[in-house]
Amino acid sequence: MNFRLRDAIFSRQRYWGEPFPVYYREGMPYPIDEEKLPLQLPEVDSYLPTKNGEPPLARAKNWVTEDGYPLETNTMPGFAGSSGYYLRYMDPRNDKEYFSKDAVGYWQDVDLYIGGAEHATGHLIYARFWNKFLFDKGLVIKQEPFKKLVNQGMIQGRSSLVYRIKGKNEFVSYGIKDQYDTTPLNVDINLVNANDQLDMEGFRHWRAEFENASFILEDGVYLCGNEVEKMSKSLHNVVNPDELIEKYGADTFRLYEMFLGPLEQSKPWDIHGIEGVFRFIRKCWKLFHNQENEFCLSDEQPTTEELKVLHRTIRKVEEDIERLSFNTVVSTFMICVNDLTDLKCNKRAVLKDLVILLSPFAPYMAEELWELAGYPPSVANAAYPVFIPAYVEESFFTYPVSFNGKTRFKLELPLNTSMEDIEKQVLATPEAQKWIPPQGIRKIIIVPNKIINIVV
Amino acid sequence: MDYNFTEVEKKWRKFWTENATYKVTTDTTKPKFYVLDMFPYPSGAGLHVGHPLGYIGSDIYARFKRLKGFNVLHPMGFDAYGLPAEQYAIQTGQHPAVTTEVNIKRYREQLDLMGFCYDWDRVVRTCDPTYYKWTQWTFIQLFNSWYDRKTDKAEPVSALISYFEKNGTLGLEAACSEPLFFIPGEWNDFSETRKQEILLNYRLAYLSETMVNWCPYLGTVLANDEVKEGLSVRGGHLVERKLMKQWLLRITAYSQRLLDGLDQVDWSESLKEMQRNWIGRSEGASVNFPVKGLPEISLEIFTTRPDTIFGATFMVLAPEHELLPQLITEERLKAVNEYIHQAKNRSERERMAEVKKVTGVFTGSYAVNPISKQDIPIWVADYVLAGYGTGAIMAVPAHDSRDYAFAKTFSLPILEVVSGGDISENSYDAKEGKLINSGFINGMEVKEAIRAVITRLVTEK
Repeated sequence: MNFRLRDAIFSRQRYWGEPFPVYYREGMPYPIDEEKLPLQLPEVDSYLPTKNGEPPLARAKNWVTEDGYPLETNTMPGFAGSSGYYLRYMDPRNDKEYFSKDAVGYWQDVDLYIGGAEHATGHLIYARFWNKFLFDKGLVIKQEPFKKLVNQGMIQGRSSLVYRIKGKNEFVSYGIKDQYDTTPLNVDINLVNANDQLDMEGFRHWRAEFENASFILEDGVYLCGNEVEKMSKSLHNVVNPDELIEKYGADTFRLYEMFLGPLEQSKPWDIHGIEGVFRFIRKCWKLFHNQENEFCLSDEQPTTEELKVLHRTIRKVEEDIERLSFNTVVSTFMICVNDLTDLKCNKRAVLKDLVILLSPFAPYMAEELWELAGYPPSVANAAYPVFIPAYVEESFFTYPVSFNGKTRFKLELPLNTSMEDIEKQVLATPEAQKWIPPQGIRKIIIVPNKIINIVV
Repeated sequence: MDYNFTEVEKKWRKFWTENATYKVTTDTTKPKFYVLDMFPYPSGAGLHVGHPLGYIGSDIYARFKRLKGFNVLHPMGFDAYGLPAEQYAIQTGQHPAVTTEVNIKRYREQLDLMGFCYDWDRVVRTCDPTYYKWTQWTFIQLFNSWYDRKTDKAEPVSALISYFEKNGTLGLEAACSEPLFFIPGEWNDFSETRKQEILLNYRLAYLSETMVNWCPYLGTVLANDEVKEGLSVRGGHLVERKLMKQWLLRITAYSQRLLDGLDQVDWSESLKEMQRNWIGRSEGASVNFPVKGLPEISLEIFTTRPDTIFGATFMVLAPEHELLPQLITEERLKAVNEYIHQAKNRSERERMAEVKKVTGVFTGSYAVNPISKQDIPIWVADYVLAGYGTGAIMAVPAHDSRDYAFAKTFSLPILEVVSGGDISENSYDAKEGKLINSGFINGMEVKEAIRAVITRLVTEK
């Protein structure tokens, strides 16, 4: 039996890392006393290797034990500190032990771990090894540290490109660039408007080298090209969340990020939809307010229709959150708020639950509405509404009515209508009369709660 | 008037902090639920809109679970040691602790704006001495442990010392760098230095002369997952292979358990498959090939296809193979040394991935195929890796695509031993078919032939 896996190289010749708790005696390594931990990172006069090529820690003064033995000058790699951090969170201020038996006994392991796919073979192998070792030592109680793991997708940037004519400081617009020999160049997306037009003055001020740039335009403007690629400073396509939060609020930002698509999928950043989500937030707020913008809930009993809208939402939101399908939850909220707006519903019995449902996605607005409705904060202490199936049961079924297999119209009937009554009612409709020839019908086929087919 | 989100969000941020709304303590009256984000490295650029995607998802889930009656642990911290802060320090003289502190503050502000329900009382920073005390502590535990294959777990080194005193290495089944042999009683006569050397051979954190990915620009070694196509993932600087004394973690002792554990977790199949490939288990047989004219040495290989041994028409060693210097004949010395020098600068993953670039040189020596008794030439090529298996292979060009490409390039003989393919076009790698040109296993199916060859190897030993 053979494995491709290698032992993990654990030392780095760097300054900014954990010092090894190790000293050397006659060339052999020994650990320092556990009581002496932590062995603190020393100060150095420069972060470069020494002239002899030793790591930066070799520059530290008195980098020796109390007995004068030299300490290790390598430091640990990046994955050292991230291999057991999930355990330390369980009992982070314990200065006697890594974590207490009680803490690990209670929290056990990570139920849901979310992070980037780039750690598939690094961190996620090392952390599992670290955990298994501590398991062998009897310190942790689960063999595997991360029960469920999900990789979120990457949000890609939408870069803007200008086209420089080779050897010149002249730039040609996107639509006519093929007539020249050009090199594409990433330009700061803040210099480009929503219609991909470049702010030429801004561009000249962006970099000293472009101060005297000239442009070949099409229809009087300079159009930039686009590329969907990694969001990165060097590609000048980074979108900063702070500005968006200032403009639209954090709730809108949270909802919008989720609305972009399935969590695990990579997708390009696209600002166009954020207004729609912003409108949704305001529409939601309006449900709780009257024309004068006064908070206003009615204590009347909700109608069956209102309860149906609410309980459909309760069920769908729960199901979708459980499978981490957050984008569909946002759609569900939109439908729900639209329906309740149409029904002019401001009943406390409905909207109270809606606030709780919204709170994981839009916690700020939910807190405010919760308090306005007279409940003590925080809404985080509320309980998820209980779904009652009876409210969503349909009392009617809409039959497609076919003639010789072709659907001609639809007919809504109460669910428990008998076959005889269905036949009577369908044949009595004016639409049916239109399709029945003078000779009458040959046969009527009824599948309850499915279809009605009339053979003529 | 519209919804004034600016005021409302400010108000509740304050409320949450002042009332410790998201503080979590162990509460045995409630079921626990632990929702974790991979903590960020606090870079100077701050968070862009891509970073919070996962954080928002986990925050929604954590809040939902709390509404459902769970006691939810949802912490956040900072993976604060890292190369960018150090590079910045080298450029500006600014202490990395200072830049890191500034960056963490910025991250914290951004994260707070987004309304996450973190219990900030639990924040950890990997560069904080109260945190890395436990990273160092775990290192000492690893240093003081060895892996007993009999109990299939880590055991204290003190127990290993007692074992050595009583039994020497007799009956020991331990994960180690190389197999060692000494008899009971010998241990006590070893010098302290010798004892420590021997123990390093077993410790789970050990010091060893190792081939590493050395990045001269960054002045440090890099892990395999930090190197891509011969360049550092961060910065894209050239990486070369170099022998250096390094600390290692004996993670390979856990290979099988790391594989088995994947069956117990709810991860995507693609991620599990990536880990399986990275761990890369294969089953097969070890075979010793005597070297012609050098009776004191033999070359050990590991093969998953002992059935194809009659088709082994040459051998290939990794450029780092320790017996290589003894095998190079005088007239081949210059060519082989040049080749070894070149191969040094390619990372392992790259060497494995680049199938098209076929390179290699003949050492001048021959081995004897222990089953067919044929003399076969010994080559050196970098598609064979020093650390995987034994660093040497028996090449079966008719039934291995890389050996095939190699044989075609250097006009080495290709002998078909499993029927079913057309070896004038391609190698036939499938593990099915009847054996031909293979002496006592002719006519057998692959599976049967594997067993027969292993039996023969064992009885001849």
